[in-house]
Amino acid sequence: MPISVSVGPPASRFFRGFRLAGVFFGTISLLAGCGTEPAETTASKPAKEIKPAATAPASAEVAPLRVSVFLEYSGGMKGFVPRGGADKPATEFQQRIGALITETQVNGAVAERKYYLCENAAPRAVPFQQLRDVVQGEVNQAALGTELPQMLEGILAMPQATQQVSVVISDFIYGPARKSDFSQLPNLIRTSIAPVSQQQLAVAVFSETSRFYGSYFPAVKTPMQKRTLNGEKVPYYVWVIGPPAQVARFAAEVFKNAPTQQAFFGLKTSKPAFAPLLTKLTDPKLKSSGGTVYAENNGLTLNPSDDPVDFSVGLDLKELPTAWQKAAFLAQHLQVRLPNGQAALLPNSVRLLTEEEQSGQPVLAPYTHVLRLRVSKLAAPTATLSLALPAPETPDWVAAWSTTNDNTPAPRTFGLDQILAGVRQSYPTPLPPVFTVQLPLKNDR
Amino acid sequence: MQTFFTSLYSALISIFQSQRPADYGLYKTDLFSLVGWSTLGVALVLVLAFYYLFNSALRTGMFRTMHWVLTLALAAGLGTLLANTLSKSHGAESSSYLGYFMVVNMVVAALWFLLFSVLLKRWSTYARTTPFIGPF
Repeated sequence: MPISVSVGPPASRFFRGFRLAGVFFGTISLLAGCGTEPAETTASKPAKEIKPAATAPASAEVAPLRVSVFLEYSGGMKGFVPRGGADKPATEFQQRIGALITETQVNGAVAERKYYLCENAAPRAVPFQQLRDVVQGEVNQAALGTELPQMLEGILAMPQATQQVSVVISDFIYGPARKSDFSQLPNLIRTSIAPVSQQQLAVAVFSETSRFYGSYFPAVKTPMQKRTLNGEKVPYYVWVIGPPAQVARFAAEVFKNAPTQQAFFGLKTSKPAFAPLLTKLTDPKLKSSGGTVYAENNGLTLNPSDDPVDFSVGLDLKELPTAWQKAAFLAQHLQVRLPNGQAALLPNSVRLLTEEEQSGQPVLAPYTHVLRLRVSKLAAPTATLSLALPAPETPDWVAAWSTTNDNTPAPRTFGLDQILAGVRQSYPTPLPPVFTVQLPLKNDR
Repeated sequence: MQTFFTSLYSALISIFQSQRPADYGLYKTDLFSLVGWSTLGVALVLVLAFYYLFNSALRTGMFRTMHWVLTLALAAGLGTLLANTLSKSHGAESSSYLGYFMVVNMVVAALWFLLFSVLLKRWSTYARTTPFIGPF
């Protein structure tokens, strides 16, 4: 039988026990307080996993594309659309434009499509079948045509032209009735597309040469008023005009097999999905390296004081034109800014994610590209890193495709540089960035 | 209490490794307090079981220091296991940081066990002097 020594503990011993316990707890919390962690006064619970900076693209994508296709159908264009046959292959124009209008007709991204022929200043609405007939050469009569500025003005004067995508297909040969107009070519173009300037619409220019059969009307009329060509190649252009995000989307999703000569003015995408990739990565090359870096509060906490911190970020750039999705282009143009610190894009780090990586690793699924950033200095307790794609200026091919005398047919267009200078002048200098994404940083000290 | 656990664990782990892993945010927001509370709970349950179940309610004769040490070892082992399984199940990646977290939690579990033993052994019927007499 157990012998209980004391039935109840004396009160003094009991309280001494609590005092001792208090000393013990105090020591532990003191020891913990010496840690590197700055004590948080608020117990705000940070988000578990870092969310992509923008979930907006998903909702923006719902906005359907409304597309109007305008085909200039004048005597000068007729040579692009000869009536073919089994023994005569279609011209490049017929292949490319035939595919483009078909894609516009059937693509799910396009909610509403309209087709027009530009024979004079006011475009004439036609059904799809009739436009296709024109492209395949099943029409005899061609109108006299209209001057380039008037045609553009007429197109942008259409109701709702500034809220939807206008696709203009033409040879863009400028032949004014009054010779003095030549001196004002950039200004005339700029005036004719005034809504582009006023509402900062985007203009995408695609160009290609195509075999040409028939009467060719150069802008410079000497020595020949017109020439009859039999398969020589001359350029034609597709202009896509509209709100920036819609033009980007049209270029990326509808005009997928566009010619390689492209120029974009005022193009902006909706904010792409973007997030640092830190955890759940199987590829060691994607993992962060260097000092401390971890995700917290929709941003990153890092400490680059000892070693520069490298980490990967994912970007969804599927809205960019195909040429701009190339890793080399992005590596050359992407800009990283970090006020109160130093950050850079690591060389050769931009790459496209393969299908396999996207499907194999859920964390990579929302992104098309990965790239690696290095933060080597962070002076302030907090800072915002921004990653931007500045809009490229007029590309080099434009100069090579321009000429001051087009009387002898060549893959050049009279005054193309001046025409596009008129477009370029519709935007501020420097051009606004195509997109900017931001990432809040916190110094882990 | 979350701040307490975060401070405690990150300070102790930084003895071994000062660089924080990419999923430190997860440790900070979830794991430290979750593992901290569970370890505390396990140590308390083992202390209660040792002193009041096996050495008060039941008379098992397991009041020797060796029995106490074995129970402490069990607490430490469970601490290690808890740190590992809870972290993994919440998405932490295998890393040296997780390894040190397990080591640290082993020590922390043993410390909780010791603390609760000292505090609570006084009222045990048969084991009030296990593992040592006093302090009260």
